[in-house]
Amino acid sequence: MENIDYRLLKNFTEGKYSFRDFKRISSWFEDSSMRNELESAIGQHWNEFPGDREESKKDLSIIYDQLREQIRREQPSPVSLQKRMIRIYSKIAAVLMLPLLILTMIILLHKNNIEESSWAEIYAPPGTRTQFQLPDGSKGWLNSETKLKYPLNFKYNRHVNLVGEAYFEVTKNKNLPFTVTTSNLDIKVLGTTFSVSALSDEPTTDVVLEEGSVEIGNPGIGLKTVLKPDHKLVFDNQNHEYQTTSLNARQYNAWKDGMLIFRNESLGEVFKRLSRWYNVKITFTEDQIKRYKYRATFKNETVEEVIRLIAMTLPIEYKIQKRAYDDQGVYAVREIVIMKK
Amino acid sequence: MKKIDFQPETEIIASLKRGSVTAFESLFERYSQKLYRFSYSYLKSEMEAEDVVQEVFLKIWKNRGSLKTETSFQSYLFTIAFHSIQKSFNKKTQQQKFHLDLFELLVVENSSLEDQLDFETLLTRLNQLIEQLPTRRKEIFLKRKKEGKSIQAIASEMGISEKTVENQITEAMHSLRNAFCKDKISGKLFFLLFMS
Repeated sequence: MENIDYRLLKNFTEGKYSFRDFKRISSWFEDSSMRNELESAIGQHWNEFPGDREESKKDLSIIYDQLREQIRREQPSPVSLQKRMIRIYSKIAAVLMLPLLILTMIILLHKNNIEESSWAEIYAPPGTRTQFQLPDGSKGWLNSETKLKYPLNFKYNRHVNLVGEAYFEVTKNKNLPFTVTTSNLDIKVLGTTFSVSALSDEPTTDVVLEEGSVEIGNPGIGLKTVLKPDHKLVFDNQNHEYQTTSLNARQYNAWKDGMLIFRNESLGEVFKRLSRWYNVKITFTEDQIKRYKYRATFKNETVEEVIRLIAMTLPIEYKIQKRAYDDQGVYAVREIVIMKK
Repeated sequence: MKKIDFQPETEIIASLKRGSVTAFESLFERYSQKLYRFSYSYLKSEMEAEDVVQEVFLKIWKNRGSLKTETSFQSYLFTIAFHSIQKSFNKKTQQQKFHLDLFELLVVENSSLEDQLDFETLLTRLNQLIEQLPTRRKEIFLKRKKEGKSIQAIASEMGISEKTVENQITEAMHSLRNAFCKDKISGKLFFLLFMS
């Protein structure tokens, strides 16, 4: 019986190991007579293992929610009249939610955890905006490439999880706060109209409030603040600083009505939004072009029309590449190249 | 909204013993990340690591009544985690048996493969190569090597001759061996050039 090589074990966890090493390590795991020694070695590793780092936190909220669900299920409560009513009520709620679920399943092609999870999902594919309604009557819009998740028992647990950008009109319910969870912020509302932008490829999480009041927090860092109407909070996901500014919230959230408004933004920003909005790839031949400023409002235009109009007022030229097939016979995303005039 | 808690751990454990879900949540906040990363480092799979976190915390909840407040919670958590990680690790090795056996065959031809420190990369490469085999050849190859079917069985299943089956398998093994020999040779060459 050999001894456990602690160094080898550590290297293994860091990806530095050979086939021979792997065979050795597998044998330690499989050999029941080595269990104590292995446990002791891995235990030592556990003690030396670094603690949490803010930047690389994995979203385990779904795991936690599943745990909560399992905890709830294992607890048989005394069947009082009130509880019985709630149980019947939740069955009805499930039936009502079915049409929405079917729609969701049509949109989602691959989710393989529907059978075991108690979540419903709404997804707006790239280049589209989707209107949605939640079981409590709250409604809103999802912007391009946005995913919204909520538990099936939403009527008692008004909790949604958001990746992307959404606009919410939340029905008032003093007894049941409505929470939006994103990777970096928790937003709690009682009944109000606001938008949240939690895009995975942007460095900030933004919340814009039209009416009512929201409480914004990040429990990990002890952040808790209240936002007033016609104000925007911009939270830096990296250094956890935030800033509140006042603005015309309705204008800012106009995307939900199909309107694109650019308020003196750099062309770089404009095209970033356009590429997301229309799901096209936009590239620049020169970096300088990105710094031009642009101001305009568009409603229900095609991307070609929008760029044509931009090119009328700024010294740029553009070329819309022919759509190519990729090797699976599927159209690749359209590409537009912007050049200096 | 969750509140930050600065309670000493002994109080949280005592709370958990009494069935406090808030205490449970608190412990989850404190340890789930480390547990996830630790599990991931051994299992090398996000899904498996997530399963460990779920399994461990579910056990913690189920056994909350018999929690001993004297022992360190971290070591208690580790004991549960170790069992879960060991189980998962062994299961994964079992599932990979086909790939590992195949790799063993390649080592026979090219012994240096056994000690190359980038085994993870090599295994991924092996996977890729198998995926890239022409459809029919891949099907025959997997039936033989992964499912362990006999040449006869494969031939009759697919309506082809046994000779064809044998040829296809030989071709597949040939291309795999080639790929791994080539990589190694260029690796060695690069090393020599670098040293001179």
